[in-house]
Order: sequence, then structure tokens, then C-alpha cells
Amino acid sequence: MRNGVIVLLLGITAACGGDGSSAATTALEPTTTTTTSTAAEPGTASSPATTATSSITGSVTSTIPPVIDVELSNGEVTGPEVFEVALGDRVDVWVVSDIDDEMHVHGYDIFVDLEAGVPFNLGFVADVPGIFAVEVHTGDTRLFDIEVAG
Amino acid sequence: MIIAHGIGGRADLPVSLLVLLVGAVAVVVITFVALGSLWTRPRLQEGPRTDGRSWTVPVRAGLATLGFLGLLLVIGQVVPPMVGAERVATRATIAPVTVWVVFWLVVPFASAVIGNWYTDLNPWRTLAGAVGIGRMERVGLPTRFGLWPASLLFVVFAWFELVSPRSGDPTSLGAAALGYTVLLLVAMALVGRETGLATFDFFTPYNRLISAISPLGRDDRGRVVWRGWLRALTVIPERPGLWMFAVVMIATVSFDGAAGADWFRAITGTLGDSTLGRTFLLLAVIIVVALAYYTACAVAASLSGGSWSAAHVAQRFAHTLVPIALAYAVSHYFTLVIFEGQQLFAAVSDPFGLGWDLFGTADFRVRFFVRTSTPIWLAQVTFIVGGHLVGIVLAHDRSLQDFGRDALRSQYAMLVLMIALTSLGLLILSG
Repeated sequence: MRNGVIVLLLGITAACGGDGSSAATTALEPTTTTTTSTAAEPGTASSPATTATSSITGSVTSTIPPVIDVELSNGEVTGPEVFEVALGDRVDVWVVSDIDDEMHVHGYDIFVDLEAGVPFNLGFVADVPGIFAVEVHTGDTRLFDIEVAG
Repeated sequence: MIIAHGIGGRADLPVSLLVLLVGAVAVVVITFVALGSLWTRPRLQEGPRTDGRSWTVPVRAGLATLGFLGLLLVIGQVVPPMVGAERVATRATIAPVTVWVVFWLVVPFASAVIGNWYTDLNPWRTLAGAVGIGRMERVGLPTRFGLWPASLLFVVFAWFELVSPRSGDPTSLGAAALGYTVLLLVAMALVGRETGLATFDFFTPYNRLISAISPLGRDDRGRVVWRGWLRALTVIPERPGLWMFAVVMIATVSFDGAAGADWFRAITGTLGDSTLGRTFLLLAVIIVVALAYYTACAVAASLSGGSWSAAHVAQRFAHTLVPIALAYAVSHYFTLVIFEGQQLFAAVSDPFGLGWDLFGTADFRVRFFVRTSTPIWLAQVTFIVGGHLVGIVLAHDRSLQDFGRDALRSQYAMLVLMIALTSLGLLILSG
């Protein structure tokens, strides 16, 4: 288990301009930006500035509650089956689960830990075309697909 | 909803209308050219045409080792849970990529070009040889079964990949591989090594049929010979059930493609949401393709004067479905091969997903080196159209042989079938 550490592996071309995350950008392969951020504790606005536009924003508690796009409750998924985005655009989906779980965006291989009841903003630049499944670890339940057209 | 496929989770975008129309027009034009005055006598029916040259390719021991190692690594996936080792969630084991990409796709695709090396790779032949099982071949009953048992096992395997929710689970894959190994060992012990594999190891006829497309064959000493493209396909032994095996090859991949298409989901509604419903749909697609093929054969039989039965025609033309089946599979799975296949590079460093890093590659991530959809669409449509062309040519050639100058008339039904299959392939691609 990776305790509360969110590791993002995004093949990013659009948004890997030099910023605070450059310390990690040399990892693995040239076209990959690796951003490591601490997971959000409930009640703290924790998303580090380094995640900026290139990555997951982390779960954020703000004064205005976010509009939840996809809700997972008792293993049942409520929300659209497909989110469509143009190649190079940013995915921006709010997810909430009633249990602690791990969410996986296939293809982009983004793994995030969801905390029970804490809304999570899945945000990344979609720079690979195709249809990508997003699932949670528990029961291999599919939450939705992200269709990146281009 | 459950993720289909034992591997991946990425799917291709539906082919654009423009590319689709180009492909459809190409089908019509190519068909007419192929059936025109260019091809008035059978050219492929006498089988392999070798020129006496042969080459020794000493890879037998290497392939046997690789195949056996692969089987061990897949079966070995049952061990970590037994000893209480916990898998790392972000690490894929080597099992899904080995079974669903290398064994299931890469080996047959390669055999269409370089010939059949599965006979050397086959881990069950190696295993039987090592433990000395099945030296006595009994050809009676198994020969009568023909390819029916292999067709059935093929469907079970496809079900495991495309329907079962456990297809991506390494422990289930390991258990399934173990069960299959036991089944084959028993079969080989009872009826002999070669008879057992030919009857029950469906990978054997699968690779044999697809490799018959290849211009490279092997002589009886295992040396490589040039025999010409497609020539081995026309002399494929017409074992009972050959046509059903070819139908199953086409229908399983059709089901997989269709299951992701909007129109198919609109027709089938909530059936696609449950394992039972998807099982039913898989069987339904197989039955529909089988009926379409058999009907076309029955019509062809009656058009040819009624001296032949539909069953006979079905067997005589079964080989013409093989290039179409290959085209369907390549079209649907080549992005899976070139993208998810890269998982093998990471998985060799951590074959059991336990957090190892044997060769320093465990954190390798798939590189999506094709960054736009257009090349993928063009390749997909080209494969489908190309497979159709080869199928048409083979059917035309066979009917010239069997029906003589009345070939064209007898072939109308086959032509309709071929165009229907191509349309189905394109329709599936267009989502």
C-alpha cells in the first residue's frame, strides 16, 4: 500500500513546462512527468502548487461544495458512463465514494486513493486519444470511461 | 459494469465516417477487380510450391524454453496467495500480458508471416516430452471428433477473456492454466501426444490455420522452406468441425468488438451488464455467424446444381474464413499488442506483482507512441478490407476448382456472405 501518496504518471506534452515539480520529471522516461503530492487530509486544503495544471488537484475542502459528477455508494455508480474530452484538453471530474478505495485511470495509469466521503477532483491533461476506463479497486467496479477524441 | 478483457482498459475510438466510407468503397471496387477477368482459373489449389531450398533455423530449444517458462510464470501466480504474499496494487503481474497478449495474439499474428513456430513453443508438448507421456498415438475416436472439442475449448477460453469478471485476475489465470495443463496431460496420456494436442489444445489448430497464410513452411526435418503465400491454406485437412472452428474464430472477436459499440448496446440493452447476459450474447453472436456461413454454403450448394451437400461446401470453403478471422483480430487488437504488450517489459522485473525489481524495469509505463487516431483508423480499415479481399480470392479460387466455369454463379452466396462479414467488421469499428 502506498500510504496516502499520490503518484501520477502522465505522458504530458501540453503541460510539462518547468515548475516546482521538475525534481521529479526526470524519472522513468523523457515524455513522462512524475508528480508526487501528499494526499489531502480531510479538512485541509492540501494540493501543493506543484501539481498546478498538469496533475490531479487532490481532494480539496473549500467553502463552496463541488458539484459531484460521479458518486459510488454501496458499490453502485451514479453518474455519466462516458466523459468526452478533446485531445489536449483537461479532464475535470469530481468523484466521491462512500468507502476508502483506490481509483485507477487505465492507459494513463493514474492511481489515486479515495477517502470515504471526501470529494476528489480527477484532473489531468488528456494527451493520448482513445477510450479509457476508470475503475475502483474494490470489486473492480467501472466508474466511467473517458473518451479522448482526436 | 465489469471491465471486459483480461488486460488493458484502453479502447480505440470509433472509426470516423470518412475513413469508413473509403474502406467500404474499397471493398466494392476490390471485389469486382478480384472477380473480374484477372482470375479465370484456379491458381492456389495445388498447395505449397517449394523450390527445393531450405534453411535451418536453430531456435527450437530456445522457443521450447520460452514457452515452458511462460507457462510456469502463469501457473506460478497461484502461489503468492497461498503463502500469504500481498500483491502491490499498482503492479500488474506477468500473467495477463503473457496469456492475453503474447500467447493469444502475438504468437498467432506472427505465425501468419513467419510460419508456425507454435509447435516448438507449445509448453504442453515440451512438458509431455519431459515426463514421457503419450508416446502411443491413438487416432480412432479423436480423429472422428475433429475440431469440435477444440472449437468448444476455444469458446470457453474466449468466454474467460471477454465475459468472465476474473479474466484479469492473476490467480484465476494461474488456476485456469493449471486446469488446462492437467486436461491436456490427461488427453495426451490417453490418446497420444500429437493426437491429444491436435484435438484438445485449441492453440494448435488456431496457430496451424493462421500460419497456413504464411509463405514459410517447414519440411519434415523442421527446416524452413518457401511455399508461397496462402498455398498451405488451400490444402488444410478438412477435419470434422473445421468450418465451426473458423466461425468461432470470427465470432468471438466480433462479439468483443460489438460489445463496445453503441449500436450493439442499444440493441442488447441491459444484457451486457451481467456475466450471464454477456455469456448469452457471446453464444448468440457465434450462432448468428455460424448460421450466416452455413446458409451461404447451402445456397452455394443448391446454385451449383445440388450435387453437393451444404455440409460439404461448408468444409470446402472454411479456409476462406481464416484470413477474415485474422483480419478481424489484428484490426481489433493491434493497438492492444503495441501498447499493452509493453507491459511485458515491466512485468519481467516483477512477474508476480510483489514489488520486486529484478531488471530495473518494473516501473516502466506504457508509451502511447501513436498520438492521433487517424493512423489507427486507417490501419484498422485496411486490415478488414485486406482480409476480405484475401477471403474473396480464396473463395473464388476454390469455386473455380470445385465448380468449374459455373464458379461465379455458385459464388454469389459466398460473395454476399463475405461482403456482409466485411460490413460487420466495419460496422463494429465504427462503434
